[in-house]
Amino acid sequence: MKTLLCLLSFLFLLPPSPSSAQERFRRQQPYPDPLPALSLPDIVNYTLSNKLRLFVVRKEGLPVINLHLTILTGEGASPDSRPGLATFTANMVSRGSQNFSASNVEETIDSIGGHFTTRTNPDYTEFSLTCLEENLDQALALLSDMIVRPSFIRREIEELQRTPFYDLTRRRVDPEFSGQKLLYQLLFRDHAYQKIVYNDSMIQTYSLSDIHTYYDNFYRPNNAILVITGNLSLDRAALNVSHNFNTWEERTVAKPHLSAPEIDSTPPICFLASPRLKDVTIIMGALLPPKTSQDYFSMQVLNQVLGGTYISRLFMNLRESKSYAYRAYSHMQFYQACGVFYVQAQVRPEVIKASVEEIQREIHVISTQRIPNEEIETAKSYLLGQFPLQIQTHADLSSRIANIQTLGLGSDHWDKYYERIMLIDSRSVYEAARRNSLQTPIIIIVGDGSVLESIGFEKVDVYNTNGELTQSVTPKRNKGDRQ
Amino acid sequence: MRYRTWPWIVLSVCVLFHGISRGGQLDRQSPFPFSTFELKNGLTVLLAQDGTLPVVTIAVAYKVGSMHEDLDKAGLAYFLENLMFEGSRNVSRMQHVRFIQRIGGRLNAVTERDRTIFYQTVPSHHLTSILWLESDRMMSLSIDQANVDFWKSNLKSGLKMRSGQDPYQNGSRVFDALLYPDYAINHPSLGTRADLDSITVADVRDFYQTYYRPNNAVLCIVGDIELNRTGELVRKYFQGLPRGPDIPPAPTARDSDIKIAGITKTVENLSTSAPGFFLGYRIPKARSDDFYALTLIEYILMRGNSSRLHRRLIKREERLASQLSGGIDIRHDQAAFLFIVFSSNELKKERCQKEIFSEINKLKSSLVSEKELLKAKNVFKRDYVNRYATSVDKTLFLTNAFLSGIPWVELPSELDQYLSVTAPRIMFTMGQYFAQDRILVNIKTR
Repeated sequence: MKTLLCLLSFLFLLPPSPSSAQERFRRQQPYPDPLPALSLPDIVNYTLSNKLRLFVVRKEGLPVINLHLTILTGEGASPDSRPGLATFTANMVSRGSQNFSASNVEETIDSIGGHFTTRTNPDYTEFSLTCLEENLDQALALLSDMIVRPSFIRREIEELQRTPFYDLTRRRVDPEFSGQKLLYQLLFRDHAYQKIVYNDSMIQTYSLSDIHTYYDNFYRPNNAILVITGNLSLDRAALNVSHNFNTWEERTVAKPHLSAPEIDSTPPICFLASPRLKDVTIIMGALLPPKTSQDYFSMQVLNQVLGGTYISRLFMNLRESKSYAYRAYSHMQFYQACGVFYVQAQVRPEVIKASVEEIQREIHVISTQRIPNEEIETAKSYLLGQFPLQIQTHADLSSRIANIQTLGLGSDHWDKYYERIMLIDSRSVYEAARRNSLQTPIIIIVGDGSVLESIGFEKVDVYNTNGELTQSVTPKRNKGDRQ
Repeated sequence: MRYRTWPWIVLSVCVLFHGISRGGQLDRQSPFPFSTFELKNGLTVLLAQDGTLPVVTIAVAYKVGSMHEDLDKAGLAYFLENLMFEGSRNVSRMQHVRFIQRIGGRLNAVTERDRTIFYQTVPSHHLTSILWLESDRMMSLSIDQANVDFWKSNLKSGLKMRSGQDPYQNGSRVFDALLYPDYAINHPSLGTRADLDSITVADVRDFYQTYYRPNNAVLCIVGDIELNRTGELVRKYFQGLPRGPDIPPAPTARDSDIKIAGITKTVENLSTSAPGFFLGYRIPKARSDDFYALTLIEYILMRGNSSRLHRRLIKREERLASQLSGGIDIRHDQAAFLFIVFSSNELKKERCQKEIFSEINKLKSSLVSEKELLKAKNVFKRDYVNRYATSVDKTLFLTNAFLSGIPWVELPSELDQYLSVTAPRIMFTMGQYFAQDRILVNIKTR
């Protein structure tokens, strides 16, 4: 006992050294606290006499207000001969109205400390205007004038017809953009959603009459919702919104019927030549049921395990283990009629076929075998953690609420998000994967034309950057697939 | 062992800001409340509660950056920033990054001239783990030949890739050297290949042991936290870390006199067909009397789609400039006002220069209208309040305010300093700093 005491005394006298001694608690990562409740703000709503639905979320602490107006039709409603018209019409809205010239619009947005964005997808079109809270009246006056009384001046149309031309030209050299565009073109063949794919030349064909017709058909209060996030009450919001939007005339809106797209039973392998690319981009995609499906949360977890992050299976296999890829991820996007699943990988040109085979193998494994619980829990942890990070700003919060309304996700989607993720287990993911086959995706390879000969597949459809099929080729031989 | 709580903290100053009564021209809401204290080892701690969502942002910032690098060690600060994810005594390589990813968080790091900031936003129930991770790498970073060699190779590849992607890099370096003659703030913060090659394990260890110490750092936590418990946790994980030696004084700029001779220079660049130019005027440092007016000048000229230069160079039908950037550039205690423009051809480039000089002269010779000044102030106010929109914004707002030496008592009135700038002050300030003594580097292309 004395020896021990001496030893302890001796140790006590030694100067602390970070390299040798440390507090016991430093050795192990601490356990987390219990998962806190996600208390989301209340969403209150009011419907104007012209059927414009208003949703208000009270959020204090920052002197800004976000106005988020959604027209409940998007590119899917463009005429078949005018793909891209919904996007073009939305962009024209900020180019002048009855009381604001195009130049006045920009001037006013700056004057109210504002920030304005427009976004169109297959199902809807969003306009988001954030302003300093003391300028709410001016912001509502501007937004209502742009939406209710746009002027569509020919000079501005011609100017806008030049502007996206530059953007599309620049983006065409982006292999991920052009590959994804081709994927959507092929997945949505003969479906209304194919109209989200359009070229520069189509933009030049839009006439003043086309824009007016699209606007008159779909820009109606009974085909719109307005979400306001900021420090204001529903009463005040309803009063201000009524004052600014009550002249907007209601009219019957003939929305296009959106059935689920047909699934191609023999999806092609496609090559898209993009000159001087050093690496190759592989995109593999398939259709899914929409977000309202019972499998939505299970498929989210599956996607997370497969390729949601750089600790997921695709990244760990193709990059960390095989060194084929610089990056490899999987994604899911959801629309009213369907969802889209796709894998995107940037690989070395020598290992195109080997990479495709590895991606197919990973998809096969995850579709046919139960995922270990540890991976399921990691994926759930990610999904639970990142959800609140996506609704931090006023604009993000408005957008999320609008999304719930536009996709018809139900009033409990918001409150039960955590609960529904928590309930997912290995078995539910397995069953969802069996119901929603991912195993026969369309394969798109984007690379320099020189890699086509050695690509290693029996038959390849070759497309140009305008999305036109130029030839179907049978490359000579499989060369150097694996290095 | 029972950990000592709040009252034991050596210095605890609670600074709470409340809203100032509304009304009048300077109607605004003050920044958010926060508290600050200092541990025995010199670590400054900033805490702010925001229970809107169950998330928390944790930042650890060190008062060191590229200006502390020796002459032949350009890039050392950025090198160390990357090495900070290589693991420490109780944390394996990349464990930090993978943990953040696993729990759905976000992380980032930034190295500037005088500061290096590491920050992450995570679900709030993981706060303790982040304190464990950050304290471990502050205490015992793994620095060995293998990870130094790995990052040397990695960063040199990055330099090569950047030089291929940025055809204006050479012009930018020539411009920096002329505008800021002092090496400490003009050298490339990502380093050079030669300097990266010369970095040794001993260099990295020495830099880490000198500057990555609690007495040279600030820890800022903002989010869904309980203040007392967070204070306890901070003490648990950070109080035991030894204070480092006194921090060497920051290099003092040799060119404290901001007057520079007017120089025009041409740099040839055959890798692009788009000509451009870098134009710069030296201005006084941040928070000096004229700085507030200079900030409003930046907004009048180039912030917002309706700003003067945006209209003249970008919005015109013939689109004179393909890119316009610049504004106030702060490098520790020195600053400059920049105009960086790229055009599609030489003729348009020349016209861009004329337009800029014309707008400068107008602001020097006539008063800006009250309407235009108010618009610039509102765009500025929008950007200012967005600096505390989310937990990560608030964290960086507080951390940067501390590192910039802004007295806490001045923080609530900081916005007012900008909003009270007058039109005559704008004209006077233009006359003071936008003279012939400017640096102009033209990029001549093929």
